[in-house]
Amino acid sequence: MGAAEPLIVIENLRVEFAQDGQRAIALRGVDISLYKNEVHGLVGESGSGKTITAMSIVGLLPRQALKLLSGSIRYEGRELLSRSEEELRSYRGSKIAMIFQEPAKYLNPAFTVGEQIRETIREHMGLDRSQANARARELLALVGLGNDGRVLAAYPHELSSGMKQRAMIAIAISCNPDFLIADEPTTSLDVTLQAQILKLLRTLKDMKKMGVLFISHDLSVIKEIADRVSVIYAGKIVESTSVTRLFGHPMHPYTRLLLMSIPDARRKGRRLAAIAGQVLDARADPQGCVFAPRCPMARDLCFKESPTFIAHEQDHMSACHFAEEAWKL
Amino acid sequence: MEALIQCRNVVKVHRGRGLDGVTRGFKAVDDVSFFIEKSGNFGLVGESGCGKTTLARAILYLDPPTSGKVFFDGVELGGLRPRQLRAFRRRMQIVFQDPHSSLDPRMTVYDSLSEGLINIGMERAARTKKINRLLDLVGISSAQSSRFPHEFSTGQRQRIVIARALTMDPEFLVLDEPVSNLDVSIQAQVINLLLDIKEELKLTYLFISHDINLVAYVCDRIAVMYRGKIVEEASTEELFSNPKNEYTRTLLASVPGGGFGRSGATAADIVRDESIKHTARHVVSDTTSRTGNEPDMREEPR
Amino acid sequence: MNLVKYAAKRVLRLIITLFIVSTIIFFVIRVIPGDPALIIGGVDAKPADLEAIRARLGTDRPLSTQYAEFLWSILHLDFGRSMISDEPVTSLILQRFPLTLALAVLGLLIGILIAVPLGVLSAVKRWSGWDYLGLVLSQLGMAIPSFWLGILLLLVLAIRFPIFPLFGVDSGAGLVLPALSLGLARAAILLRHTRASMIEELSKEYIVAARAKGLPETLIRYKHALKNALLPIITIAGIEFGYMLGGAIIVEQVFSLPGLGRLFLYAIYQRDFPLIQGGVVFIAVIFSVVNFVADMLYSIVNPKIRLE
Repeated sequence: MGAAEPLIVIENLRVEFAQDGQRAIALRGVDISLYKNEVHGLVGESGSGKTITAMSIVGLLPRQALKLLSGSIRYEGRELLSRSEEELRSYRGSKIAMIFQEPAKYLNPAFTVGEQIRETIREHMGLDRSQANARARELLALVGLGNDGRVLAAYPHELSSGMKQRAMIAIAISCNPDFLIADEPTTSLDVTLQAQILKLLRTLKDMKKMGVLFISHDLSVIKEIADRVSVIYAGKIVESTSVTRLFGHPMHPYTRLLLMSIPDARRKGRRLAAIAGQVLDARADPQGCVFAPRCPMARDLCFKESPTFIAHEQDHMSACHFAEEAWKL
Repeated sequence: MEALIQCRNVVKVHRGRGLDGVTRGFKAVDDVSFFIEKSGNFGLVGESGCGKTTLARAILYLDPPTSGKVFFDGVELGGLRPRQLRAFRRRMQIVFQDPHSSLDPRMTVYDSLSEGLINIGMERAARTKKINRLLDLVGISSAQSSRFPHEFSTGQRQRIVIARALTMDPEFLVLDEPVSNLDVSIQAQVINLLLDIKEELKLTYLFISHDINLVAYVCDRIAVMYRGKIVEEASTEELFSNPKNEYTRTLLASVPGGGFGRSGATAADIVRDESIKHTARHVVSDTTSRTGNEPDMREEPR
Repeated sequence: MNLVKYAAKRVLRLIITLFIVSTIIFFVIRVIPGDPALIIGGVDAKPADLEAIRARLGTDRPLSTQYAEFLWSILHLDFGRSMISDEPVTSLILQRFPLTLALAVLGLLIGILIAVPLGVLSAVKRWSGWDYLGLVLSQLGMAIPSFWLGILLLLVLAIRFPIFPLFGVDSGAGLVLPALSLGLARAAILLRHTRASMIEELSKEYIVAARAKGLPETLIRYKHALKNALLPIITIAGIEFGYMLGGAIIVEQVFSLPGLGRLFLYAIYQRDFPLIQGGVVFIAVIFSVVNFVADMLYSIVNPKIRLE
């Protein structure tokens, strides 16, 4: 696993928005430690706060709607939340890069792939046009788009969706970032393409010793790519551990139910575990556990007191009052 | 075993004008034959653009096939007159991927569900009784039937769409990516529901998905579709234990989180040509015509 | 599709349009009341004189013959002679065209120079003072008729403060006021479109991606968003330009400029059939050419079209 000191430490991150005049709580105290040379999977359902967590790290939360941003995000020990926009900008793209779900939408249709790589390089590395061009060419070759310069001169719409995602990866790694945030980068791709992109990300991570925050709703993808996993539910991390431990010995009831709800051809005929009820309303601010209303194990304590996110075993954090109790469904 | 659905050499050609302004025919579905047993649970798996949805629409005669025959319960749909076809259509229904666009936002749930029933002249009292029973079946409180679609979550909406598909007492249900838009935990609820009502109402399913793992979980037989053709068809066990086609093997190995087949190999070991996506819809040249009733594919300059 | 083929297609379309337009105009001007012979000869002309004039003009022959002859001469790019001045229609139009063209170009330039920066500013600083200024100006620009604006400009900038000449176009300065009154109204429309287009582009995902790359906000706005936002503006500006070429009548009248608009206006007053016909065909051609140029520009800026 990664070095002793984490690269990015997120502590008790709380984000609230104003939505139709009401308070919507997006994150309710998120704690994650991210290391270099490690893929950290962040898994959760839609609206659970995965993307908000990512956007908080790079300082790109929608400012007008933002009502509260508290807690701490430290990069190499230095607080990011108190930084000015201009300081944050120097981190983005150069130290922390990002790739997104739908490359077709996140690439600018009016500029060539080459230009979109070059401008990033020139902004952060101070290279001139021809140096930037040479580097862009190398990067495209690195992500498997050939080095004959064809993709360099191509516009996004001239590429297939797999190629677009590769181009976006080339842009992201163009300034040798220490950290890459990948927000559902394979969700819109077919499975065979997904396999290729996952492999590419893995290779690049090994090559550049990057830390990666890989966001997905799909546990199988997380299992494929991540070293470490955090499970997020209703804006709170409920469990965090190594990928083998999470799939082998899940502690939090939500994680367990989630694992049992994935249809698996090997468990054909067995009924899928369905989690009853609906996801917690963003306007609600319960004093107890966020999962209690849907938890089959919930007891009185769960509704009264919010469980702390603590290590129950070596390297295995969980936010559940009864995490250590054996239980079955 | 008796076949409820039978396709024989179904071909569907899409006409489109290319960037060069020349009209060409694309074989979106290319000579597909298979049958689905009564109360069968047939899976159709393939990647985007492979022709699965086009095939489903051709089977339902929503977009009749260009050539080939579709039999429903032994009757050839192509030989029916529009009125007769409508009667058959009631016996087969389709559920789409996106429940947001398949429900009219200005109609209450009750109105959405009664539309078809009014068409066949059902009395109001009987209608209400039936709708309440169906909503109950899919796990929506009948007290909520006067609400509008936007008042429900995505999962609930998909349940409502399923209930609506059931109003006509169909025997055959086409499920086109019915859970792809849903979150994992909600997905499980809907899959359980689909398997339950299949049992209860003795339905026959054609389950379409890009997710071979999901299809295998739900279905007994699987057809793998690639570039308009069915490249392999087998029982689920057979397909997983002994995949014969190269594409099937790739698909199985690409399943994230372990993959299937190729003992020990994971998806990441498989590298495939990116150009597949580009040529997924292949141009049919004029030399490929086989049967007499096949349309003329020669280029039509405009 | 290659460019030659595309251009050929456009030319074909233009020919069809011209045929339809000239046919309509041919019959419409003959249906509306008013006999050119009566206008030339005067109200108290003798019937015999009128007959002579009609014979000279050719309006005494059956409509079908006139129509056939009209089509035949158009095919030879011959629009005949003015019934009133007896000069060739083509040379009349070509004499007047440069002035109108200059007016329209200047008007469009003024429109774009005002609308695009202000529209972009409004979009970038939404609901700020700049945005409200843009909103008020565009409302005024659309509400104020250009003739009134023209008169106002004359009163202030030619009479009260004689910076610009009151009449005539001997110097380029004479064009400024008419172009201004023409351009301001266009600016109002372009401004609204620019603002809307820019706001839409700024809300797109690629803007988020550009921010995540750490690009400065100015670059994101004026390179990434603006290039995409200008695409629809090019098309609208093309239509506006065509409109100004054919529709500068009122402004030409207010500033007494000898442009195309006034030429056609008098042609209609005097039932000068060949001149009206020639004018309409000419405007149709200009419209098509302008549209074609706008489309070409659009395809240069928009890489998605380039393939075709």
